[in-house]
Amino acid sequence: MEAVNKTQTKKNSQIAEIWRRLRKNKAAMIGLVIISIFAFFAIFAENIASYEEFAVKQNIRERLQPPSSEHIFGTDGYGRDVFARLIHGGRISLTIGIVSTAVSVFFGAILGSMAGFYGGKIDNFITRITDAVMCIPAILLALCVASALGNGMINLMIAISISQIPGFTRVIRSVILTLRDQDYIRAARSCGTSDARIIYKHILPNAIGPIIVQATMAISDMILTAAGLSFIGMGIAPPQPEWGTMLSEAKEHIRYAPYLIAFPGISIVLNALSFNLLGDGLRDALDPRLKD
Amino acid sequence: MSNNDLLLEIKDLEITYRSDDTVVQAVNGLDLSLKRGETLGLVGETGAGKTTTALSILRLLPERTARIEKGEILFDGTNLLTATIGEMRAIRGERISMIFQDPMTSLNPVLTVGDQIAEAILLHNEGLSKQQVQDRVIEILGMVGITPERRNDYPHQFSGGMKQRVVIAIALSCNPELLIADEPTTALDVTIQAQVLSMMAELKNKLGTSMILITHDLGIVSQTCDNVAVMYAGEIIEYGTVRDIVLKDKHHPYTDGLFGSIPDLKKDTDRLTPIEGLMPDPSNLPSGCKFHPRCPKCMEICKTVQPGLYREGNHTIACHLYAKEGQ
Repeated sequence: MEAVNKTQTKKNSQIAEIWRRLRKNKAAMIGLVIISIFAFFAIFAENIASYEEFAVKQNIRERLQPPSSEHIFGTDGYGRDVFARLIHGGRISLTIGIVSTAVSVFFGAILGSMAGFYGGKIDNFITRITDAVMCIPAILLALCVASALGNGMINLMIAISISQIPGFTRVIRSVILTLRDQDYIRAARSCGTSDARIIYKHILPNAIGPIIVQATMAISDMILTAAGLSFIGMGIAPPQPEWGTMLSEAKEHIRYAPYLIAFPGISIVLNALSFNLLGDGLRDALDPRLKD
Repeated sequence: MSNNDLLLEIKDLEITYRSDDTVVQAVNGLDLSLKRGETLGLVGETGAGKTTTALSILRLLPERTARIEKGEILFDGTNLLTATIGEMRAIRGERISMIFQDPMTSLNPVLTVGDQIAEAILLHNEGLSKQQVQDRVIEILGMVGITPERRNDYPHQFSGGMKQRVVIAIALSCNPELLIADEPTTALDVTIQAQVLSMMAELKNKLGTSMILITHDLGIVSQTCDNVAVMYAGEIIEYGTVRDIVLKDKHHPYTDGLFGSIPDLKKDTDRLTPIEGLMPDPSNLPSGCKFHPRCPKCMEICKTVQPGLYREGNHTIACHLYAKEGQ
């Protein structure tokens, strides 16, 4: 029992060390706070404002009201509360960002570690395909996939993930190239460890720093791409609230209700910026060479 | 000497490293044998091919550049060079294990030492319960003199000597029949060296392990080894018991040079007496005896003809100086 507790404190202390370094970085902390606020509203969206009641139900009599105490961000062209739609849209945007990043990291890790670890023909094959896919602009690729698969959240996530996998494959491959020839990998081999186990147990944990950083940065990319696709009608279908969809709907009213475009726009920008700031901070915090 | 006593036999091993336009002849026709329970010292300068030989036994040579041109490595009767990957994996760690030169880099920085020892145990004993594995980890750490509480620490929390103990613990975790120690003490300071060496000798006796000790420290060799093989440019130029090598008069001039470069405690010397010149470029080895450009006793024949072996009991020397007497 005591031993278990000791392991716990050791592992915690390493995280505590990273946290201590991250906390010194003001920009990263601002990012983290903003993300936390968005996450809080997204998680408790249903408790704050009912989805059925405020986010999708049309109410023509209250359409295009400017911000007031009743509707703090005003109402849109169908009389729906913008604040309710924003927080419900945040659910979708954050989910898309995080889930598609996780999916991309997963596949990127498999492809990248195979390419980096085995080298030779496998490496050539995977790297060439990655290069080819990277030639296509991410948004264009996602657009093609989304239009082939059709609207909907799952399809949007698939489209975005595919466009991000090559980036992760590349990063993970390059990290693994530097780790592969380390002595401890050779030592693990000399113990009879299998390749799969070496990759999973010895190499990937060492590569976790760069992966976390790349993933945090990618979330903001994903949120932007998702909003972009929804804006042009390839992502989330109305009446579901999504920041990009909201922007697209708001553009009709831009002359007399500019706040309709401001709030979702600000949300997208703030989120993308915050994840980038946090990613930057994490990169510094996870790099032991930059200690203090 | 019956054949059963023979644990490892290397026959006519030849290894090259190839890059775009050069071929580096790292090991050239090496013959070596090792009996059970025996400790063999493999001595030679940097670049003589010691580590390459060791890695080839475990088939851990870099795949892209190294090539085994010919030869056989027989381990307990099986040819390791033709074994499948699966067979090799079963041998690695369980029957042959290796201690690497630098303990600072041969432990994975993100895993606790306990986990790393446990992994080595689990790989070759799949049926064990968690408790049994933990017990074994504690037992092994005890053997190398580390308190069991430290098994949850990470490698960076250990000193160099302690790390090398952990590396040794991992290598010995499955009671291997053969332990290859590649300069196990080079990265350690002298006091720790002595500790680690005596610990290894003790464990070796306790477990009955055979050992190949790669080093360039002749002091270590005379302390711990039964037999010694002196390597130069990928060949074994002299082989014999420690007594043969240290005490007898007849030597390969290279061995003489090695011993000559150790300062004598009793004499007052201002300068060391090193062997003149450098190791030959392994991508362009000299003809004849590979040592002839540096040899103080070089004869005309040395420049063209590769010397045969001169034998006296188990003591063999590859040098023309003794060739006539031998035949």
